[in-house]
Amino acid sequence: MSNLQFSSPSNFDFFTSAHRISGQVETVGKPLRDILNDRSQSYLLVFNVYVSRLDDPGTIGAYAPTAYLSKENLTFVIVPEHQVRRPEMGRFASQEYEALVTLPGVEVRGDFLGPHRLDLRTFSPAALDAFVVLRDASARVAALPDVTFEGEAILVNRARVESFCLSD
Amino acid sequence: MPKALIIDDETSIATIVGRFLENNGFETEGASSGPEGLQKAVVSRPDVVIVDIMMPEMDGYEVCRRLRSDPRTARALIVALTARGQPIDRQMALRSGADVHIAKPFKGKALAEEVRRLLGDRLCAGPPLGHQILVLRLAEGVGVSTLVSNLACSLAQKRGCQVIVADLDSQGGAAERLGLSSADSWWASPQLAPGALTPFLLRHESGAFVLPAPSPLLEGQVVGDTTQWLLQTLRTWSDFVLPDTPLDLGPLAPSVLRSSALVLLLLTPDPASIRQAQATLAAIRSASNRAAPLWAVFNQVRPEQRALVEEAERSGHLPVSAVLPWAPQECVRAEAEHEPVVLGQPASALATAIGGLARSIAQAAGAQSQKRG
Repeated sequence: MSNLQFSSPSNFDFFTSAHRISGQVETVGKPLRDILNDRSQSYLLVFNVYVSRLDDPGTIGAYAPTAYLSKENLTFVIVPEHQVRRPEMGRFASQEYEALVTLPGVEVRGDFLGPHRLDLRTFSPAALDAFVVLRDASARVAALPDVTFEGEAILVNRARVESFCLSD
Repeated sequence: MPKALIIDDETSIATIVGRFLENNGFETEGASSGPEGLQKAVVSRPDVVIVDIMMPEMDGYEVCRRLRSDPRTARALIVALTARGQPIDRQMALRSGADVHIAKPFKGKALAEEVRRLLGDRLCAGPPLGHQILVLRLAEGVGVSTLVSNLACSLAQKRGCQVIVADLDSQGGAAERLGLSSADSWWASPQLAPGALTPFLLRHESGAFVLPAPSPLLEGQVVGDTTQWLLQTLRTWSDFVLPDTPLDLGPLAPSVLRSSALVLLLLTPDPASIRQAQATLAAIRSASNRAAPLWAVFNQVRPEQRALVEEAERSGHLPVSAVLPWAPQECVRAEAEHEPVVLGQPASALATAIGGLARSIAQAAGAQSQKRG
């Protein structure tokens, strides 16, 4: 019993361009990354939702028992490592890069696993998964440089990316 | 057996946390919402409150703030539990009054052990009694109520201490300086019990509490035993108790002096006052077998009087801890606006000097607590 770990069923921090939305998702054993990348569903059902404004991200402004989040309007999501499928090293994931991704009002830094030879298709929203993974990542709100969000992994919405800066 | 109150809207988590705490020697009870938790905290006075931050009706930050602002619950160890585990969330929890922030998911055994350790550290620090600081005067008009109200605000707002001013002077004391008044008096309560005092405690915007004087203070009625009980009760609720006493302590003197951790002797810089202060100091030392440290505080000091103060300091008979400058305009404005100079005129020389005295008191109290541990 002493090794039991207690958690509400899968809590996540979701971010849009103006809000931080914390809540629970029933993942039914699937990594959240797969649920977000499932293009057959545009919305994500979230329970016990607490909403904060991004300019005051510690203050809880509103609560709702349920909410539907528009996947395409999310900028990034902070998740624990086990919510991210680790890809096999191969053609599409063979080298780790340090990445700086700029999103509307936010900068995200972390490790990006990508192909050895990068090309434009790597970052195309139409290609591959809608959400790209940065590991050991942190996000900083541009208007509040002292406020950082950290996580084992951050899922970044490719469709919201403004720039994707990489270094070896 | 230490008591723990677990406030969490997810009853399954509250139950499991409770079980781990019980296995670690705690008596526990649960509450499924912030308002229910606050009610139970006032009744059962837990040693530890474990608060979930994300609750629908009232979030955990507000629960922490209310626990800290009620003297009956202000001294509990507060553990904030939250699925929001970002640095900003930790800051928010600590700013709201939590002692520690633990992010979910957490291990039950580790949580229980951490709570035990934190509580153990507190108990080792000695009984949870606040320090009583008595400001003693030898003549009218030296500004005791002004100093008491400013020290209370400075300790509460700038140092984050829990402070209660016990106004024992019905002649318009610290409560009036802080713009607080009450038509009712704790003295009129049918029974003198701690619970009967709390409705009369007034909270100032600085965070300090004031218990206004019984009005009118009937001569001879607030006697030594009652005063001792009153001050003892207030000390269990706070870090500092500052009695604002009348000039003639009369029958109150032994109990108030005996229970004080520090006596500030407030005097004006003239030879007669200095001689009287030295004689009083000697009398207190010979009369009390438990002599509290006594610090002299010179008030209303004009530039040309500095030499006299320095001479008194050099003589070694009077331990001078602060020299408050002559600042009539600042004092008049503070009185008119019911706003102490440390809050309304923080850049003034008077506010700086009082702030320095508050810092010395807080440091001395910290050292005393460590010694007690």
